Amino acid sequence: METRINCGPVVIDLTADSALLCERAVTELEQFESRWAGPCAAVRVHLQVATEPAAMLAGKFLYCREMRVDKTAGGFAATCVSGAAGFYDASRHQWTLDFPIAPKTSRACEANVDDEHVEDLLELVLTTAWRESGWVPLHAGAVARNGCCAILAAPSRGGKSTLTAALLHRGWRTLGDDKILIRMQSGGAPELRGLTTQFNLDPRTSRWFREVGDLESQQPLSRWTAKRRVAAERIWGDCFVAQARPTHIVEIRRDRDPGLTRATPLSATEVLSVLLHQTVVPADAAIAKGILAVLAPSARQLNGVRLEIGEDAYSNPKTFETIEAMLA
Amino acid sequence: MSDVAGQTLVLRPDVVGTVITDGAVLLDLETNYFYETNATGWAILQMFEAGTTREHVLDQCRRWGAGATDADALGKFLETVGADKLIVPSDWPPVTAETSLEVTWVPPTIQKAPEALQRIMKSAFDPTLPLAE
Repeated sequence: METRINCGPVVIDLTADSALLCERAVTELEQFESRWAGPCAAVRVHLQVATEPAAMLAGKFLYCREMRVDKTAGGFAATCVSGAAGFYDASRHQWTLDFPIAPKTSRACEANVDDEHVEDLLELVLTTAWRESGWVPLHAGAVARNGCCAILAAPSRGGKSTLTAALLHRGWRTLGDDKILIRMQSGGAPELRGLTTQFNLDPRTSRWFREVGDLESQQPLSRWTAKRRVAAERIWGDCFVAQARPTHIVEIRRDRDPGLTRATPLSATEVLSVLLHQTVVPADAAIAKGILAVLAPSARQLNGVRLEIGEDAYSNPKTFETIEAMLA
Repeated sequence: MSDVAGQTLVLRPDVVGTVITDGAVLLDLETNYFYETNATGWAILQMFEAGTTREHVLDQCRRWGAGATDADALGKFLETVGADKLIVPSDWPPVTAETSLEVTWVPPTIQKAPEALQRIMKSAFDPTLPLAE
């Protein structure tokens, strides 16, 4: 089984031992599917079923909740708590991903492969490839209008998608609600590009923005979240911009006061901190230096705002005035 | 930091830096703290990148224009980079060649971020552990 998927500046040439493994990988990669003009770096990824689970690595390069990554002589090795593993041969730009059959079940088939670790390993494949292409992944949303482009920063479930939806509701456009890429252009200005046109929205979003519609009838994204994946263009029409120069960064902080909306400026140090906290920095000097070379000068060109916002603030029309005033 | 006179001190290889308009940003990959330093501070740290002594740095700073009133700032800068182990003793022979300062002398500053970057990530893309839903 083989297929090709464009994920922004890279092309993934996917092969798999089985149709089911291929289908799962395609499902994960499709959320990043984005065909950019110009040359793309190609990365080969082969998925196969392993007979034995891999032993966990130390995670000296990257330590994730359920995945550990170490450098090897020729690239990287990664293992997941399920026993899934990935091996990267940097000289050939080739990954081999092994997925063991879950041992607790008698159904010896690849249907038992842990989906979350397919996602973990493929995100490692993509982030590695994007960085090798000069782009830094940001776990952030971005909105744009009239020359203003704001990066929306918050932890997972911290309000990025809801604020993005709020601004789309007001006629802004977007580059994505939580996955974007940034690089430094040759002229010294940062450039943002979007990756995905799918949003992960909480069904409660429709309380404030009726155009979202009833999301309760859809399946949640995973057992960890109530969010539903929706195609943003189906709700807000032609709402995407492909690229933009960022001018602002908004640090979103949820507040216990349900009606609160408060915007305060960030210092230059705080802007840098917020931006650095939105990317994964592996423990490798060359890679970390590359990330810093993009984000540190970018931070100096951004106006920073901390937005403290309560659970029900979007039901108050004045909230939108406050948000748009801070981006003026 | 070791105060042994004549001891070579080097910037640790896992402290990475990048130049920005008003100085540089450093990231310590051991502690995950980042630092902002002004252009003079960056020039001093570049001397340590090659390996040099505290005495040579003080001497070079005087040639760059440091006066008696700058002693406190200079001492505080060296104390910070030493106490946080951004520079460490080395067996390398010290580099004591004269270097130029590309900017007008001002006392060096270094500011440590109040919060370290994350050590445990959710995934290779997401550096945050999620807030409770």
